Amino acid sequence: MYEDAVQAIHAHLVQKSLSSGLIYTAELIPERNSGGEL
Amino acid sequence: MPLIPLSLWRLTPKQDFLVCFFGGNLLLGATRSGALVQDVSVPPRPEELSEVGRRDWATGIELIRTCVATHDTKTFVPFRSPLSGSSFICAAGVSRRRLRTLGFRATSRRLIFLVRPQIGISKEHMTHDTCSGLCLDPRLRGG
Repeated sequence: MYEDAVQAIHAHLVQKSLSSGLIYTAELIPERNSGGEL
Repeated sequence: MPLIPLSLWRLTPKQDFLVCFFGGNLLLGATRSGALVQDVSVPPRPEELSEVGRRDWATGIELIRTCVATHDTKTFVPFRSPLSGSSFICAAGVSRRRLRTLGFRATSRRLIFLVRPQIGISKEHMTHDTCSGLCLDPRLRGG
C-alpha cells in the first residue's frame, strides 16, 4: 500500500517549478460540471 | 461512490501544509522499504538503496529543500518559540548549527522559527507533524 501510494504521488502529484526548479507537490481537484456535479 | 476518471481532475500547483512531513516520510521509507541491506548508513550510500529507494530519497530531500525555501520569501513571519510542546521536541534532537542550515534562526537561548505565510494558523500548525520532516532529515542524513 505504501509503495503504491508513493508511486502514484510521483506519477501524478510531484512537480518541478519552472522558474526556480524546486520540487513541489500539486493537488488534484475534481472538476464540476455546470450543474455543480463532480 | 464511483471513481472519477483522472481526466476530470484539475492539477493545481498548490503545496499544502505538512509536505515537509511527507519529505521526511519519504526519507524514512527509502531507508526502510527501499533498503537493500539490513543496516543502512547515515546518510545512506546509493548502493544500499533500491532504485525506488533512491528515487524516494531524492524526492524527499528536494521537497524539504522546497519547504525551507518558502522561508526565504518576503512574506515569511518569524515565530518565537515558547520552547514548549512540539516545537521544542522538534528542536531537541537537532543542533543549532544544523537548524540554521535548514532555515531556522536561533537567537540567544531562544529559537525563532520561520513559518510559512499563513501565519494566522501558524502556531497551531507548527506542531510535531509539521516539524517531523525537518527532524527526520538531519537524523537520517547525519549532521
